[in-house]
Amino acid sequence: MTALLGTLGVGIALVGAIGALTSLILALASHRSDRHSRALFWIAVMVSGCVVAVVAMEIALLTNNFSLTYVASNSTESTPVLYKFATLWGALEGSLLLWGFVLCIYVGAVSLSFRRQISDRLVAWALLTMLVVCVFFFGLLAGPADPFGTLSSPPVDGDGLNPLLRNHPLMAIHPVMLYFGYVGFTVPFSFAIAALVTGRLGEGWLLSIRIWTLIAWGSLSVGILLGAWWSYEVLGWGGYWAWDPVENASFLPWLTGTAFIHSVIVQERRGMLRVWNLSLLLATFALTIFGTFLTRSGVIESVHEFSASSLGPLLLGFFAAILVVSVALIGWRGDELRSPGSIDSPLSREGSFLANNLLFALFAFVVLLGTVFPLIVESINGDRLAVGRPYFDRMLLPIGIALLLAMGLAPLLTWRSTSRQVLAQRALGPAACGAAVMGVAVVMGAEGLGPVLGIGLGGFVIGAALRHLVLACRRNGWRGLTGRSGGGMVAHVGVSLLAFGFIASTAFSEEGEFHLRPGDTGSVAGHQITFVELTDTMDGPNRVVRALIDVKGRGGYSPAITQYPTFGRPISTPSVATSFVDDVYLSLIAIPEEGSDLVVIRVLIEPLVGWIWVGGLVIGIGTLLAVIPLKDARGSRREDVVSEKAL
Amino acid sequence: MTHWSLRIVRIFSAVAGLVLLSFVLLLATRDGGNGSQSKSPLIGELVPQVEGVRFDGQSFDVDDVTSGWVLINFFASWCVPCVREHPELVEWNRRHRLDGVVISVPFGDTEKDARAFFVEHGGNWPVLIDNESAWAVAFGVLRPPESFLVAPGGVVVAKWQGQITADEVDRVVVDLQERNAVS
Amino acid sequence: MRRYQRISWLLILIIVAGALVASVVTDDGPATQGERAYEIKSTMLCPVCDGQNVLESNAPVAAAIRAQVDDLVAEGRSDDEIRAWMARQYGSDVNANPPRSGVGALVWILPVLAGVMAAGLLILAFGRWRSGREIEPSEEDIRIVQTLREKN
Repeated sequence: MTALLGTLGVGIALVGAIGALTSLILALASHRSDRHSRALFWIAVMVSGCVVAVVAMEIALLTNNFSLTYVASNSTESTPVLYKFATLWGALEGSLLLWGFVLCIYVGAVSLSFRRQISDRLVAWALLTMLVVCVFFFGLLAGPADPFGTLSSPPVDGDGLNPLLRNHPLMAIHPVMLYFGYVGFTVPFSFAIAALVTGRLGEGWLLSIRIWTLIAWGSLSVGILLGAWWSYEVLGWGGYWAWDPVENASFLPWLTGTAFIHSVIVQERRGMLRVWNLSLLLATFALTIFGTFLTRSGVIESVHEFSASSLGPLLLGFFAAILVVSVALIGWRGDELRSPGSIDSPLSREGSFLANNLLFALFAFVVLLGTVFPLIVESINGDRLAVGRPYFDRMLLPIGIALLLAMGLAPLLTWRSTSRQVLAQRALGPAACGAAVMGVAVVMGAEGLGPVLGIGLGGFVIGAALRHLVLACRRNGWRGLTGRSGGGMVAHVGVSLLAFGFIASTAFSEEGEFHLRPGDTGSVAGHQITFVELTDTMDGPNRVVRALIDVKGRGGYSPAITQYPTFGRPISTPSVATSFVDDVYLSLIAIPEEGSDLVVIRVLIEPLVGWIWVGGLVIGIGTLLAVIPLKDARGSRREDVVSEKAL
Repeated sequence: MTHWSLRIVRIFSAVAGLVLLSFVLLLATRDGGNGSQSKSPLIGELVPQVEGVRFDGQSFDVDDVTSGWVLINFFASWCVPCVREHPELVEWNRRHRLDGVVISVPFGDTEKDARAFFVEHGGNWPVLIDNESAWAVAFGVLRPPESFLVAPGGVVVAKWQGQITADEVDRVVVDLQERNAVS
Repeated sequence: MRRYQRISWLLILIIVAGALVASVVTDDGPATQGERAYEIKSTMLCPVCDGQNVLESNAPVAAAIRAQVDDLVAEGRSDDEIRAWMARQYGSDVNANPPRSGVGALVWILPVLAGVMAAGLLILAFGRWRSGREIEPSEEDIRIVQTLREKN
């Protein structure tokens, strides 16, 4: 019954998407402005169909309807309700359903907010592009990735998710956030395509989608960081970022997206960098599809990988189509993308944005190259090689340091050009802040040129951002914190905090491995830990061994290790004694022999790691602050599109 | 924009498009997947050293038994395919009572669990504990179960990843015997 | 005022230079056997766990490699010998560091090349912008800039 409902929902959504697409094409072909609104009806059909499908899947998951293949292979009766709910995005088909759902939310919201301008060719073409994406995804859901396949003889109980995916509540939030980011970039992409097709390459369309780009960017940032936090809390190795192909796949659109939200300011202020900005938007969306291809085709082995599927060729074809259309459009419109004006001096706001963009592009190039390089080499000469963390660390450190420098300098520079005297005067405070931070870091024991330089530049960035915020608040009160520049500077502070945490926890972490019996103690990097007692219990069919560890000055913590009968090796669940200064990360590395109370425990001291999450929170707040006044300016924002039409 | 820079945009987009498309082609045409009988740098080499104390207390050295066929099996008590393939090892051992021997090495397992495994599932061939995992690394074992067939004379001739059957192993045995008979 | 500024900048420079020198001086490479083994383990990928290194992985094969690395380091083998041995046993893709020779070296060279090219293009562009004729912004551009200025 629910299976039927779900299949029906997906079918309706597909029909709605095709209907909306057709009516838009007809309307555009007929040049009659009264026909466009029919598309709105079909979009409503599509959204409701998708809602029905999602609700059907959730009902099936929550009521343990194991006659559905998806439920039977990804859920069990004993799964807690929260994770049953989250199983929607725990495996391939469901995650595509979530993709479709988020896409529907965006398309619905865009068509609501632009419903009065729907006969505007730019808006119509943008909606048309989004609907093509919708048709593609609902087509996948209706055929090759059907989440509502049924079993003729349903099992009594399902197999359940990989245990790693059902032991932390972040699992319920992180993928959704990530998808809101990923999918959100469809909106600016569609407008970029529309601008290219209609030839309306002025800045109006950029202003009208500013808020959408920011929402997508903010969600992606927070989603990526939540994923990092999740792996830190769950995977048990004390790390949060492994340069894994799938992590890279989510990071790549973030890099190009970040480059865009900076360089678009130059275009809005000076009308320059048009080709570049369009390319960034097209690349960002293409990279989201490419990332989906990497994660869902079995091309690359990864912890995050969904089981290999037949979707590979389809996603690859879609990616190729996006590339061809994008490149052809930019080549075609090349002559109309002229940039008026020029950048007079490298020492100017636009000069620093340009530097920022080249650095981000280079950063993205390194990440992309490192991710796909093993594939390329293997197909050239059959060699298997790996590109891992040491490569990324080494290549990205200089780029990261240069980026921090540009980040600190940019807010101090004026548009057009900045004289040395003005810069020397403006940079004094921030530079003093950077020097102070650097000095403190060295006194606290930081070593190594790269890390110390990075930390010092982080201080410089904070100084520059605070200087801007203080001046802005003096002028405008609390409103100085809002708007793109205010919110942007708040986000810069967040990025610096994150950089502190990242640098300190990678460069200065210490670890020890101890074989302890109850009462024994061990110490690493000035932290003393005492093993108090062991508890060995059965949780249903799973054997759970828990060690109570007393971390001196922090209290008791109990890392655990669980042997699931359906899952080969035991899963270690770490326990972290967090503080503002450092984290004491405890994890059991082997399941003790039955009857023995000897545990092997790995203790990792990671300085400042908590600052990463705080930094992420600050970035999120910064994004929200940047969005606020745009909402107030809605009326005038709409006029931009309309008045441009008159040109 | 001058004619010159327009051409640059066109050339750039054409080059970028071609590079990316050839990359797509490269991804589209690559093939994957491999059979259960796997490659290993060990094949054709002499079997690495395996010596120690059996579960029943006798000392054992693989070089003493290489006059016949040797099937070295890395397993773990928690590994489901290992449990499933165990009867096949028993069967192979029965077939080759005279000209072969199975050797089991626990991998990623405790000695206690491994002993319990043999008590439960049977099998009276040598089981050896791999101290410091030196053998596992020497054999390049990735995950249990993994099996290596050593031909009479001590050369490794085949490697299997995953569950095996007695027939599968014997196909290689018979194949080699026939080839030797011809030459 | 200017004198005060100059003195402050001098002070900042001294602090930064001092901190950087101190950071280089105190930085020492892996010295003890434990540190060497740690370094090797953290740059070697576990062959079955999709990108996790052997230091962090719970898989039996990672434990086996860890134990062997400890043994080989204790035996006095060099880092390169140990890496080469593991690459022979498990395939060259256990080394997280791509090779610096052959086709693999491209992964190191291409980004540097791209960086140099980008910097070159930037310098070229600034040169052209400085010498080239000023292109006047169109009315549309001016209008948009104005509406934005009014808004902010």
